[in-house]
Amino acid sequence: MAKIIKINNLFVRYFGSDKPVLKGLSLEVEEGEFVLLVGKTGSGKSTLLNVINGVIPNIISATVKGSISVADRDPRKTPVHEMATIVGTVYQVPESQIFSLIVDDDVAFGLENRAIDPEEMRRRVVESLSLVNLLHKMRHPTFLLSGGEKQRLVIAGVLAVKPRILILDEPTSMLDSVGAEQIFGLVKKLNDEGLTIIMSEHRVERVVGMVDRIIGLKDGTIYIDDEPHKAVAKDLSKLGVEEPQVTTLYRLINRDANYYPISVEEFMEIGAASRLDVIERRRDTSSDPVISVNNVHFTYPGSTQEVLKGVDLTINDGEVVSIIGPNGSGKSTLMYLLSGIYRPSSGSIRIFDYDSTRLVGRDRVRLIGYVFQDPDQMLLSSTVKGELEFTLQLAGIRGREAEDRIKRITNYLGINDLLNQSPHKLSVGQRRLVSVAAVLVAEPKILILDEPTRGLDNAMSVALMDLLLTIREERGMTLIMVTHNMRQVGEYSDKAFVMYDGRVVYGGTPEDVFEESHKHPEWGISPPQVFEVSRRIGKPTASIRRVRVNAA
Amino acid sequence: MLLSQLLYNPAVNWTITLVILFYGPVLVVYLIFKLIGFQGYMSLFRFIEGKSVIYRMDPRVKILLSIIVTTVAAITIWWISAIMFVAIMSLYALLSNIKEKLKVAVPLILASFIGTAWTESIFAPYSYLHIIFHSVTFLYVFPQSLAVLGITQGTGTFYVPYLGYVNNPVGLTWQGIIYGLQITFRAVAAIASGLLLIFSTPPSDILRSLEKSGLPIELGFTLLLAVSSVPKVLENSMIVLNSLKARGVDFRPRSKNPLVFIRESLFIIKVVIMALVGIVILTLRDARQIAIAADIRAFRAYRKRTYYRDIRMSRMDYIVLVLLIALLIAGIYISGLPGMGAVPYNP
Repeated sequence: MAKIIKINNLFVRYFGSDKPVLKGLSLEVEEGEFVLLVGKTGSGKSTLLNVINGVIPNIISATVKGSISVADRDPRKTPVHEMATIVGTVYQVPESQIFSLIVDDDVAFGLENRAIDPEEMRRRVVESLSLVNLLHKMRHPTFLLSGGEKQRLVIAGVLAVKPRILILDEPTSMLDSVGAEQIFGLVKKLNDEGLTIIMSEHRVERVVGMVDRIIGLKDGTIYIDDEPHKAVAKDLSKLGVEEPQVTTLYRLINRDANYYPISVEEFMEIGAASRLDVIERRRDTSSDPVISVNNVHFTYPGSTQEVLKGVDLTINDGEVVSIIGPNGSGKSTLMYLLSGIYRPSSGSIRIFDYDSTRLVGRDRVRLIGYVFQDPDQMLLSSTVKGELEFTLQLAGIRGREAEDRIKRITNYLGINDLLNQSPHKLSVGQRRLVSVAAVLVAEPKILILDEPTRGLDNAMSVALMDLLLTIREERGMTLIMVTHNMRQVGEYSDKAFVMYDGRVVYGGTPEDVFEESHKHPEWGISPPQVFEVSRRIGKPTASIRRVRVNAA
Repeated sequence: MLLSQLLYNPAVNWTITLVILFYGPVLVVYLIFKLIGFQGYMSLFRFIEGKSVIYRMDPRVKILLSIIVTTVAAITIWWISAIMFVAIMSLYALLSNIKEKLKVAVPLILASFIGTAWTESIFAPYSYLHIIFHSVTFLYVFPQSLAVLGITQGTGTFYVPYLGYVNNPVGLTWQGIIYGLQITFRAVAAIASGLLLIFSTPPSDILRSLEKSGLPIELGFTLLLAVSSVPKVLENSMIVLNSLKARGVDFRPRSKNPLVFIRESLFIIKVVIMALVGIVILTLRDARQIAIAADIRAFRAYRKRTYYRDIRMSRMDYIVLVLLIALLIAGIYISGLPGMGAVPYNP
């Protein structure tokens, strides 16, 4: 096979920065290969991808040294739009890559710009849309598509100019699990048809089985470059990247192998499962309910479509509860109702001993906090301190007490040196911590988190979740998480509730929920590997932390 | 006697005056936000395919239709606008999914109807009313000091029901109401024709046809981006407001103590400004990404552009075009007939 990408001794330094992001990186990719690029936030993944498509240095200024050849061209010397006919690029946020209001118009946009003959153009639009399985939505408004559909539309627009390489920079980080699966399936199909793929992605466990090769970046150089089974042997967690749970399990048994399983099937074949033992889940002594939702129906004002169709739910004091289910099933709406943003159309919600609709203003703020999905949706003040003071003002806490609380919470979260900075200038991880602090400072008894780790890399996610769990332990909070990350559900929650089509269709321990999800593919839940493995040895557990190894 | 004492008791007088002064803007805002809402705005951009004549027409002809209707409405007497308005509304029958469209169109048209009627009826200059209607009847008189706002003020002595004779009264006149209602037909004829264009033409076709008629592509693209970012901006606004509500912000001042009420109101204003900043940041943070994505897709890379959809005038388009030109000529002619034009003083 011919090498389609040849990079030798690549150095990249952004304009205005004194440290290079990539330091002497060398890399060759064969035509038709599927490469997974992993590494912490800031390790240089996006930089590498943007060098290959020529966006660096043609659009984003940077000094680029070394030799680069992509399909025998130097991307530095080729206009970006010409490179795009060789290298198609898909970025994180689908909305900022869609320009039209109607699906087929958007695919046509790039072709119109390239003055492609109208007949040919219409043929290619149909062809690209059928490749991504969106032909049936050809005349659909783009903004009404689901996240997964939007990203597929972006891919269609990229494919319409027939590139030989497809670059995807964390294409699923804004999508739910159903949307992510759609993208992974599509990318695999395109690779099978001969397209070269380079994808950076945090959900390693989901994609590791389909790639030919894993490249791990650390501090601007290549730290791992191998086929998946050997690559995972080098311990991806050192790169701040999640590794497949079966790899972790096998490492418990055999520390020094150079070839590790990456799928449940491989793990079972090795026959190592019999060495595993599972500590029983501690059945909590029952505590009092803090939230009870009774037959709640809800329709948004001005809409005729009922979003919640009779929700029943009880959450007990001190529990960690996950709310899961596909997008559009009503999860966020239910959280809006719990936090008092909207009132139920019918039915009742009781929070502690209060009727939810009577609970307003500071009384509510002191009982329930809600951390939104995207920190930028919450951080509105000009300094971090101002943000925390704003919450305290609304909670009616002033003076000494307010000062103390700010000190306490920022020490806890390790952000006390950021108090006078603007939240908008902080990194993704820091912004997330500030948004959590802005809610926790009111010391609510119940904390709702919407996708708490979205957009964070594995290392940051684990740190944040551990921190939240510690705070809960010490302060006795009830935690409610809306999440698509099933590893998190298994690892951290006492209970999980599945929402589907406006109802809570199932509730129980994560193990019960994962077991049940096998019968309900429509829920879009794929249990973590540790559950699948432990289930086959008859000791199902959703948390890898409860797995032990028997002495041989 | 009792009624006159009641109606013109200073407190009642001010209350009625304020209600008349504010019902217009309040109702307009109410109609737009409550009846149409976010969902309604979305459906403005949710073009739904149709098969009737109106969908097959060249977008340029439809653009011309709304321009000519607006022009003719502006230069002729009010009932010509009323006829055009009725005619255009009957064209709505050609739209598919008519119910959903009327749900947006009716409140919008009603809002502009009320808005225009309100401004024109209490703010019509007395001299206009006098010239048009010869005699002016005051129905209700406001406190004299409001003359500074530009509310209709009669010159001379007028008989006002339940009050008697008043010198230079300031207030609501019967002729003002008629004048206001007449003027509104102009506004609604223009709005109805504009909505007809939006409902029957995919937004990108409107742009393609504007580009074909010589609009610079950069401008077209900016418009396209602006239009397609509306749903996202609305969504962001809703989320930011919800996040504030979740933190305990109450967007309605509730206190009965006037001082606290004012303090609460000021706080809400401050929060709304904060929210606006947040919405702008959310909307703009992807700007660079959008620029990169546009470059990758060869935007402005080549001089020549082709069009995904054929925008070509059919025979029917030419027929409609001839009719439109006839309408324009007729409009200009009528406007010149005595008493049929909009200027100088015909409503």
